[in-house]
Amino acid sequence: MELKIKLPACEESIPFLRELVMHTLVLRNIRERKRIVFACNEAVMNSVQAMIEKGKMHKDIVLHMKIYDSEIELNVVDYAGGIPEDTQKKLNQLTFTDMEDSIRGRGLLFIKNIMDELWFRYLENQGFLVGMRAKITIEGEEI
Amino acid sequence: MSGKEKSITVKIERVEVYEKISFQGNLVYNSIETVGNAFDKLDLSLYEGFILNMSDVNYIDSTGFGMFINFTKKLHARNKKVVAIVTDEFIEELFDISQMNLIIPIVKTEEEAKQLLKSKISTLKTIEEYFKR
Repeated sequence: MELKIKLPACEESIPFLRELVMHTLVLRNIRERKRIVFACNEAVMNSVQAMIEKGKMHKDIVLHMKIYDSEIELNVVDYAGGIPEDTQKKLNQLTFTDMEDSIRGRGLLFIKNIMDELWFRYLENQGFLVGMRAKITIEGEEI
Repeated sequence: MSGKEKSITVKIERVEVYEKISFQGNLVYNSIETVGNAFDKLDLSLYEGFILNMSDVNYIDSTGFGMFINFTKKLHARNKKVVAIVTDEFIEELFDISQMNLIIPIVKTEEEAKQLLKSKISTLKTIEEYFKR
């Protein structure tokens, strides 16, 4: 199953996408839904906030969700210029206890710890993609 | 498209020598101001310890955790204790993942919270140790 949705880069899109993903995962009886929704929400929140900060509210963000038998992949694309490469590299070494006491900035660390894979990619259309993947189990179908 | 993020309600009440701060709703990016104002209104010197009651929190995002880190830093600087009541298993897991349970111990009930605050040591790490300073 695949779901691709484009929404304006505004704060209203954050709860909308969170609820949409949660309802989809509930309908598919995916046991890890809370973890996946949390991770997806963090990526969406980062994208929306970055787009607002860069004054690009007129552009859309894109969420692409692919659900396979035992795996889920989520891609969030925005047009806010991306995450600096040194920050991307640093993420592998960073832990929560390295963070300063700022209110923001823990989203990617949560995603890294919650999902099995996290990656970043610059797209040809100036977009920046945050991708994540996790194994899933279907409730009632566990071995 | 559906409307805005549901707002958070913050209720503050005295429980013996402690201050209990109860949150109801979603503890997310747009509640920073509401929660920050509630924290700012507290006279930290008046109470021996603080109970963060999250039993009615439906959803928390990373900024919600950031708000707690910030508040805990202020409390630790004044040698005040803090405990969180968390009943949702996933929220408890997030405390574990972020290792915030080292600086904010997690309990299930108000009674457990009071017992822990009465005990000599309630946290496994100070905020300085948490940040490796």
